[in-house]
Amino acid sequence: MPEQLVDSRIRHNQSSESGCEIVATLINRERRDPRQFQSIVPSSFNNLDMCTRALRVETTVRAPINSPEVTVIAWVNGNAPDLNPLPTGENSTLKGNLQNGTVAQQTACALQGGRWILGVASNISTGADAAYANAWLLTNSANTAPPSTITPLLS
Amino acid sequence: MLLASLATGTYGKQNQANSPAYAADKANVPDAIAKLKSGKFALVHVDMIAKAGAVEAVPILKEQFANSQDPLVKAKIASALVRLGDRDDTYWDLLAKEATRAVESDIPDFMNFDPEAKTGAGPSPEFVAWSKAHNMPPNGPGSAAQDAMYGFPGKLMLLGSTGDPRAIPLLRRGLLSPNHQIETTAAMGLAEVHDRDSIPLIIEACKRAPAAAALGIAESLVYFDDAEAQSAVDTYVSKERAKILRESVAQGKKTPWS
Repeated sequence: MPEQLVDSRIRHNQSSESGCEIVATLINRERRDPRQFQSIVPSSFNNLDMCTRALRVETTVRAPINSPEVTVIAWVNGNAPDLNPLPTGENSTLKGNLQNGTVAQQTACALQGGRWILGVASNISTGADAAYANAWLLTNSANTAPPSTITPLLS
Repeated sequence: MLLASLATGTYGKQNQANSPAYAADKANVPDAIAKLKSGKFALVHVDMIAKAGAVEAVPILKEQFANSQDPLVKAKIASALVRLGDRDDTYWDLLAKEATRAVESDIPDFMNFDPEAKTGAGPSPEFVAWSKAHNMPPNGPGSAAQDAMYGFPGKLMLLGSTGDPRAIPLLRRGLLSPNHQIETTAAMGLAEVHDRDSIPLIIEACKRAPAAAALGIAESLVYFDDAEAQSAVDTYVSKERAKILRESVAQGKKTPWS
């Protein structure tokens, strides 16, 4: 089954259908032309500059097959317990490059992010560095939480 | 989530805190080559192969270069092939063409380096005016901000990452860019290729730049074993920051992008 657009970043692929449930995969990747789903997921990540080259991320969702309507909401939760506080043990160069205070710090931060975008794992030497960088990026790419009530745009 | 795994190459593996990160461990180079061969690879795998000098991967890199339609993937592979010593002009020409676009661009700083400004966060007034004049959105995906902050500096970085001395003229032109991100990347690139003759040019760039930008440009000088370069580091970079950078050099980080 072809992937179907949920919003500009999240796509849905119904991967199988058993007797009692629909198994679908949410795929977060690049922009595509809209098809039949309307936007429910928060429309974009906050730090657009950092997230324009999205790596494919998938999650599997299971729902009863007799549900009249299934709404799946996915967002990057900056308040997740494993991000607060950030992991420790990172090297000082990495930490220094990921500050957001002065314009010089912001410039260094952008350059650090730019290196990562190009696949250069600069200043990532240990597992602790990697854990810190991953958590930092997640925290700074978080979405706002979705509303508690969803009103479908199309019936 | 997205960029994080791309950047660090963890790919779901649980790294021990003190053990080498995936991309930092040369034992993972065969895995990177296997990923490249499978076609399911990320830029970090290409980078690992290039840094390891894994010339046995050259045929696979060439194959993936031909297969890919993504300009960034093609440029990254081209950069790796040149670094690995491939002499096919196709790859060098691609990198040089893209880097020339970057150094010839008149795109201003996205960040606001005006010391009188309330915030350094962009877009700067010059940048907004430039975007308007070029009928481009100032911010967001596909905007001029992408080019100013990442796109154009990235083109110079891919050129400088080759370590090829042919990059020096273009990197030096980058030192004259009106965009300090491009300027800083050019300085780092010159440090990457160890061009000692560019030290005075980098110092001149520091003198011309606003203090906040000079700091970033001057960090490239940490990687030169040269009294004039080190003196300039002390002039433009804070003591604490210089100490951190020098410690990383002492621990084996010999170039900015290693």
